Amino acid sequence: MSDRQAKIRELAGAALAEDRVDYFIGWKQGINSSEAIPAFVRNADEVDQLVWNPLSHHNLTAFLKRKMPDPPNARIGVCVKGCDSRTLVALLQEDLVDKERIYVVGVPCDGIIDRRRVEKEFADEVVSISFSGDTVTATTRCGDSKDFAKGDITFDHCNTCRYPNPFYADDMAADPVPEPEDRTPMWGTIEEFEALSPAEKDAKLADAFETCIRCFACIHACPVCVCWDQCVNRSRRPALVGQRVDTKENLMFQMVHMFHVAGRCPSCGACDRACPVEIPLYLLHRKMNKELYDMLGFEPGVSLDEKPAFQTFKLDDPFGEH
Amino acid sequence: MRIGVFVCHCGTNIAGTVDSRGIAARAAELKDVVHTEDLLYTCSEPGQSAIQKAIIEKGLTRVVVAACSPHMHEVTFRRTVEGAGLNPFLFEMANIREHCSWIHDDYGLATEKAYEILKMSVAKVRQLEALVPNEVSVNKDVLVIGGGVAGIQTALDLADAGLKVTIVERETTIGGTMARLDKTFPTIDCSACILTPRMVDAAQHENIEIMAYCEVDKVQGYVGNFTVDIRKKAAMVDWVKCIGCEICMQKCPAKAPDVFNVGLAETKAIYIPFPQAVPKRAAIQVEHCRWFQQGKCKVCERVCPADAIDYEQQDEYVQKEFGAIVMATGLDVFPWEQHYHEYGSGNIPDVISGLQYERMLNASGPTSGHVVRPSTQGIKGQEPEEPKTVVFIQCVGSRDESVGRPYCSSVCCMYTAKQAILTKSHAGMDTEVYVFYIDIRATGKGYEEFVKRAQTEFNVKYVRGRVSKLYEDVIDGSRKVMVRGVDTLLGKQVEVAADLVVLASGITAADGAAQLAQKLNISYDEYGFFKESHPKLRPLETNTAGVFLAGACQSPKDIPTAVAQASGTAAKVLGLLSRDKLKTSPQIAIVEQNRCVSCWKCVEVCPFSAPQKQEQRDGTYLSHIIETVCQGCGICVATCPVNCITLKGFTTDAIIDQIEELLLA
Repeated sequence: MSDRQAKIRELAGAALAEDRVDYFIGWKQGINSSEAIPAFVRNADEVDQLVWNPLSHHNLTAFLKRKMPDPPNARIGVCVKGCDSRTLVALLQEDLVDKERIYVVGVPCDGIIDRRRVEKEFADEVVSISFSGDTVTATTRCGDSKDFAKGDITFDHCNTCRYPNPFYADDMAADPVPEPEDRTPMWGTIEEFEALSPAEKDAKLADAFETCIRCFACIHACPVCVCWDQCVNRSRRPALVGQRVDTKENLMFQMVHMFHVAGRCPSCGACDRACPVEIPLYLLHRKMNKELYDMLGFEPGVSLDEKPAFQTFKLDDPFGEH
Repeated sequence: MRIGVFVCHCGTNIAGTVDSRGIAARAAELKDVVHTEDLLYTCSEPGQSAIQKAIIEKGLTRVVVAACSPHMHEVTFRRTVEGAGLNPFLFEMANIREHCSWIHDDYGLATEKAYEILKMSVAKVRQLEALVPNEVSVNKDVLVIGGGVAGIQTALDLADAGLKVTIVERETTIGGTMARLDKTFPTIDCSACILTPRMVDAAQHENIEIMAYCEVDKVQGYVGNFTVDIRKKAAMVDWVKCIGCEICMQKCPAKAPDVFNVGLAETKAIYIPFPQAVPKRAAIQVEHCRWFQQGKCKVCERVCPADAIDYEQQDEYVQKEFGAIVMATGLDVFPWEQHYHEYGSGNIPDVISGLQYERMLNASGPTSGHVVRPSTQGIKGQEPEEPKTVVFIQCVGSRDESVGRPYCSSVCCMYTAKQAILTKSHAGMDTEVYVFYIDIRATGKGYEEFVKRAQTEFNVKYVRGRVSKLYEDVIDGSRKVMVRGVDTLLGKQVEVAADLVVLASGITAADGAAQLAQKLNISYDEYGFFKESHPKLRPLETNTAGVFLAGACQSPKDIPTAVAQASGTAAKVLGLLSRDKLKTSPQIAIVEQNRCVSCWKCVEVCPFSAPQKQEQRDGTYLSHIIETVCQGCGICVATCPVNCITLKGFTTDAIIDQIEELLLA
């Protein structure tokens, strides 16, 4: 793990020193060692702040589209995990990111941890998380400490990850990690959801979406969601989505997001992690991905030559059969 | 705002199920409605006059007509209101016929629904704005895709009228299906004698360019201004040098299946399909050529007197501009072997298709016009045997839902009668000829008389019924094809021991028709036939402006019909291109650029490449829709995630008002 961190620093430092990029986006320690946050590094001598550990969850490609025009010629370095690289591929498929202006460092990933699961084990604030092999040690402000097996607190998405190695990178921070031989997607909770009766589904969705406060954190964390201040979810005229915060309107709000990223969202989970009220947004996005896979055999962000499913039409598309 | 509402009875088409007078009266309550009227036939002269009179006398500024589908008469009524001085786009049509009266039978409920449809249209008409068409200049060159008899006819008519025409033909020669036919019904005149002079006329016409062995690769642009990429396929022969002497074909040692003769004979790896080919140029079938497959031979290069062989030739691409495109891609024969296992799946040598028999009857065909049993051909020291009993089976791949072809191929009854008569004249009047049929469809001029002649003068025995099975058997020491079927008129089973069975295989769309339709954005049906815009009002046009139809690419047609349609299409093209400028529809999409987020989904989904990435002063890019290219289909409007594209005449506000009128009012 520290090897990858050292290599990221080395690659970022070289790119900055050789003036191949104007700045480099990686991860750094947050307020304390219990969290990692995005870092924008502009000088080669600042690369030592960059970190790589199982807390480096942010999908940094979320910055790319909005950074592209400002300034219009900036060259940007960025670090990507396997899932992040799929959103990057989705962005490249749509020509939303200028391939010539980015320098991509790929990081093979062993899975990131779900910090919330750690927090829930303590009454006090977690101020430090350290890693030793597969053991994760968390310590609180009062000094309470507890060891976790990494596998027990891995983020849900990582447990079903089939592409831990970046698809697209200019340089790699390490040799690829072993990949699953069977690439058939595992839909897990979606199949459980699909087995429910319509009434049960309704109840489950109502329960899940009732707490949404429309903070737009999910939308801003999403790398392929690119409308920002023009989002139709905010539009007052015409009022296409109700601004009332209730279960139905909340669900509609999220449905709009789901359809706008359909065929482009590889379920990186950034929205789930950003949600302050822990709405299981993957229910929608994974369900859409499952439909696309079952119907068209399509997986988002796995090939630079493809276009997102809903932007193409092929003669053998099985429309009308589902 | 002063809205006038006109409700049509359409005789009893609407008034039979909907109280037209009642809803017209109720519409007077709606906001801004100052005039209502019900009319017996609104599209008639008195109906249209009533609208114009009301516009002038009541000072109407908006008009709603509740009648049939806008597909039917929107254009009619736009002209009507324009005639009275109103902008034609301040008009809205409420469809209370197709969407209401025709599909319901409860008078009270249908009337309520019709009124709701009408209310929604009134809500929408309030939001409409006056729109003014744009003008674009027109390229007067025409592209004809397909060089069969229909394509040739359209091209000649257009060229005679002074337009420059390019025929793109994917085979090495023009002529299409008709070039393979021996005789034509009902006159039994020689097909080649009619067609080949027309082929030569086309080749020699100063206004026609024939691009044979070429395919349309890509089509961009719009009516009046199409840009077409054409792929010139590598023939491995320099056609500028080739003189069509056929020496290469005579000397070539590599055999290849003869597609022109439908597999009844063999040709050579370097070939010219038939003696009257236009252009008469040789091409190498690479997959059968010894040089390409085994790396040695080059006989053709040695014998060619014109030094035309070029083994290094590559496909070439040319780009051309056209104002209109005519689809004349013709037909293919239904591949019966894949579907009719009860007829031997093509494994019984003496069971052949109608087109194969046509080649057999032809003097320049593989048997020089002799009717023979294929099973007896090519045996050393033995003359091929002439059949004594010939059975024709109709509707193979037509009118048969079990093979997914419910339609009638329209030509098989007639060509079977023709082939039955020709059998008697080629193989002798004593030949027994049977025709198994479902119905005889002989609706053209002189057709019924022709079938009667086959039955009476030529004593062809017509048996009404389907054949259930064909199988080989040996009877009295000779090999026969047993035809087991039913005579439904006698109500009993019949069995005929035949020497030769000819299947009247039906017509299907040309191979690749659907893929070509995709390139041109025209509609096609489930069988690959191109769809006309309207079967009665616009039968020669497609739904894509500037793209027209000629011949069997639209539906199965015989030669007279295909030729007549081809000339009609030429008239349509001439009508379009007689103007120097074209008015474009103002109902097009427009981008509100200050809200565009440059996601390029509009660019990706547009079938016409109307949205472009437009560079802004700050170096960034925003979407911009080229007015003249946009066809107003609305796909970008639905796709735009920020809803910053508006289709003029179909604004989001207007649609929301319609919905609110329905749900809230």
